[in-house]
Amino acid sequence: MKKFLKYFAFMALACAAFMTACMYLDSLDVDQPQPDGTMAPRIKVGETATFVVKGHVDVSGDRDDADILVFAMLAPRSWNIRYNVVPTYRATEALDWEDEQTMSVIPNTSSPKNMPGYTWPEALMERFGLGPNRFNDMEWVAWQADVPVWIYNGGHPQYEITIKCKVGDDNLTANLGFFVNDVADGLTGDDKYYKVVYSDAFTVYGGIGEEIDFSKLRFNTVEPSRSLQDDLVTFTFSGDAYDNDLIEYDEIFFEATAHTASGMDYTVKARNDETLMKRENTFTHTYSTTIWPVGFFNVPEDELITSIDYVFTNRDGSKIVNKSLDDKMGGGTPASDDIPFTFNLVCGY
Amino acid sequence: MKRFLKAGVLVAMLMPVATSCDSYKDNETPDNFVEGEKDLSGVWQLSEVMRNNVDITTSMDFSKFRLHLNADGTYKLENRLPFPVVHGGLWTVDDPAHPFMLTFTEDGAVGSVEVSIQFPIANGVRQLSITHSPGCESNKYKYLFVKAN
Repeated sequence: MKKFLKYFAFMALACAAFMTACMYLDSLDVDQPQPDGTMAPRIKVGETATFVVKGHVDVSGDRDDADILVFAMLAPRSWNIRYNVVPTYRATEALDWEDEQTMSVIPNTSSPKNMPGYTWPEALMERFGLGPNRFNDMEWVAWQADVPVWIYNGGHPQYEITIKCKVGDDNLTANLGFFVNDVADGLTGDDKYYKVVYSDAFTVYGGIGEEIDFSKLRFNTVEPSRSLQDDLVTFTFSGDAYDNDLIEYDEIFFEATAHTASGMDYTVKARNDETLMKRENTFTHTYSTTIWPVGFFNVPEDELITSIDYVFTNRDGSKIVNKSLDDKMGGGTPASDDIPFTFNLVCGY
Repeated sequence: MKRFLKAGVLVAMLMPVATSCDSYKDNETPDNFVEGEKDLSGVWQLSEVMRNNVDITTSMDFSKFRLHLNADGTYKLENRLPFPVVHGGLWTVDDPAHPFMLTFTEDGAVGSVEVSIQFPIANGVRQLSITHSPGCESNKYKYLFVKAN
């Protein structure tokens, strides 16, 4: 019993000791070199951006053990950062500042110590959501240092994380999220031990198609965002994004016109089983439809669809949600009230 | 020490037992075994469609699509969907015993289209799996077929 008590006391002390590595995030730099020689938070589609996170750790108490740095990032899903980001870091004290250290994606079999049952991306989304962003097409991905670092009482190691990130092909503006923590802490409830920060609006430009502003909700999404006429394309109507007339209807229809390279238009206006959108669940007003454009528009074999204009309607077509309404609700001033959403059929560059 | 010696003797006695088991003798000589030919011919219908590793089987009606791989070497598509070929023609496999490639030669076409396939048995049912990118190359579709009734 005595032995057990001693062991328990030791463990309690050890746990208390773990709680004394305060994490600080001192600066975030997302500016990229511009063609005119200046620096700005914007980059051309398909290029590789460099982000730098700097901070330090204050270690106090009885701590004298090894720990593993955790870094996570929130970015548009289309960037696929799990595969397109390589974070590295360097630190003072236990490490040589000149040595660049590597990090690896934390596998989904690992949970943060204080959020068991969650993967790191799930835990981060649960805790921080999308930050200042509102369009839910972003994801958190977490990495951990490949080498544990010894930390000890009184230590004040500085760290610098460099993130090389290949941005996607979509024109967009988003607030990127950056998070630092350590494995031993594992996302406690106290933000002394982790830090999260969001960039100001970061812009990707120069691609084809309209810009997606992640700070705004949207009525529409298309998946895959890069598609051709022989892809299977899913159009989704998010009826809860803003107030709209369709919220009162249980049946939402997809109405669309395909434009071809030869200048022909093929319109599907019939409101029937073919165009009836599927409701995702009874809790949200999210409806989607998946089409094979060639079959849906019955386009002849020698025609090539270049873009699709579309709106969402009720059964009699008297209520419509289109791009004009989306722009208006997002704070814009559309040129007219009847502008449809447009999806360009392109693959990339 | 005595106990240790006893244990040693026991192990030594058991060793011949462990090593005297006759090795498994099969009547077949492995070198003479010939893998049977797989019969891909028949009418196939879709049972599962994955797009970029996401199951979209219930997202649209895939039930009417049929791939007819006829025993005479011809094929045709019924109620066409995105597929590596558009028109009917001739089909062959690279190796009837271990088919990994299915080759379609469309009627009137100069070249042919090769698609890698898998031919597993799941729950006692033979399946035919084709992975292809009929639209953008970055979009991968996996069609899982079963024999139509």
